[in-house]
Amino acid sequence: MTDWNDNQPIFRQLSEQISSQILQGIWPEGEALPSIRTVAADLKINHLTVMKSYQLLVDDGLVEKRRGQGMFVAVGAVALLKQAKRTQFIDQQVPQIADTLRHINMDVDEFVKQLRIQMKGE
Amino acid sequence: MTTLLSAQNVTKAYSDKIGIQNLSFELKAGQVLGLLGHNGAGKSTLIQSLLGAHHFQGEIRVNGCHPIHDHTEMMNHLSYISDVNVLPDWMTVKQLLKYTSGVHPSFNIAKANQTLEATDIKPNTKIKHLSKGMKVQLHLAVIIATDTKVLILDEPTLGLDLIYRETFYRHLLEWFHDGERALIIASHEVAEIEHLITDVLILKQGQCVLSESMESIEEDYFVVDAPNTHQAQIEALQPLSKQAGLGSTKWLLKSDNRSQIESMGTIYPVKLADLFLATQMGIN
Repeated sequence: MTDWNDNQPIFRQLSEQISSQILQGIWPEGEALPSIRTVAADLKINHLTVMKSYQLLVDDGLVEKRRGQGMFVAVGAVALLKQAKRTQFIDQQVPQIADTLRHINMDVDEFVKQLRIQMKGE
Repeated sequence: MTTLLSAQNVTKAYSDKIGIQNLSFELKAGQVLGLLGHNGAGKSTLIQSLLGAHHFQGEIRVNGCHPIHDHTEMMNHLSYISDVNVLPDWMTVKQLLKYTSGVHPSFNIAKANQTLEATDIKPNTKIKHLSKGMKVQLHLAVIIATDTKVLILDEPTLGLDLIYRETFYRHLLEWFHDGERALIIASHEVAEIEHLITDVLILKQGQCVLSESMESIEEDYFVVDAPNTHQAQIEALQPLSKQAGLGSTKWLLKSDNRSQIESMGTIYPVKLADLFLATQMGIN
């Protein structure tokens, strides 16, 4: 059975999992997502939870519901997700990085230098 | 949604004690009810009443039928897997299927064979020679092949290994979502069924101590992990339970006071197991 963490309700964890899979290209834009029944049986969770997760994604414009056909990844979903990630990075991770730099007395130039080394390595 | 099962003020008194007292609940198509309680809390007494296996006071309707007065008709759409094997040991698998198609009006033998083909269960094996896991698998295969609307499971995975559990729940859920059905699962494995159920009914000494949808439980309760310095403030709000950690404690509270506490520590969603334990003993 899937391991869920305790910090968040399952339906949020599931919708985050699906979003990151859309971003990775596992579920391409315009293509169908697995049916509610399949997800419920695979993950051993109830269908209401799956429906709630899909609904979150519909509300965010990442997924569209096609009557009688099921759930499809919306065209433009990847761009939306990248934008959201960007905002999240600037709003949440950058302040954390700034905090850490202050804590360990590292100046920005040194940080940029380290970052360059890191990115070249990849 | 269609109401498939309703129980109103169901009471079962034995000569020397009360089995269950004034239980009322409803089950609609699409609902999966988790029935929880200590040994002797009344789970089996309730199940036996729903099955019409003994007399009770109050009203029960399963798919419109009274469990005792309309027993034959009710059993067309009600199935039950108990924690002990009830399939006749002396029959072979093939004989069991033939027998069931003779006595059950909606039994589809082709469907049962199709389900069994995907397993290691062979038609000519005697039931007594099947493993515990195979017996449960066979029982579920028989039920899946009927037009059951309400399925009651009593400790269905007791004694099953992980692989059988996984297959069991997969078959169960796939079948469940194919139609307008309702499920009742009585279990001690709270964590195992937590994400599977849509509603929960918790019994204590024959009485209902909690009856809620999982969705409202998520809204009505929360856990806060806060430093012990906040103890006095938090305990003034009457937490349902607490669990000590290293310099901090996890308190389980009702959501009414959430705004007062939110800033004191980390907030977590409540786990059914914690809520279950809290209903059974309370804080001390």
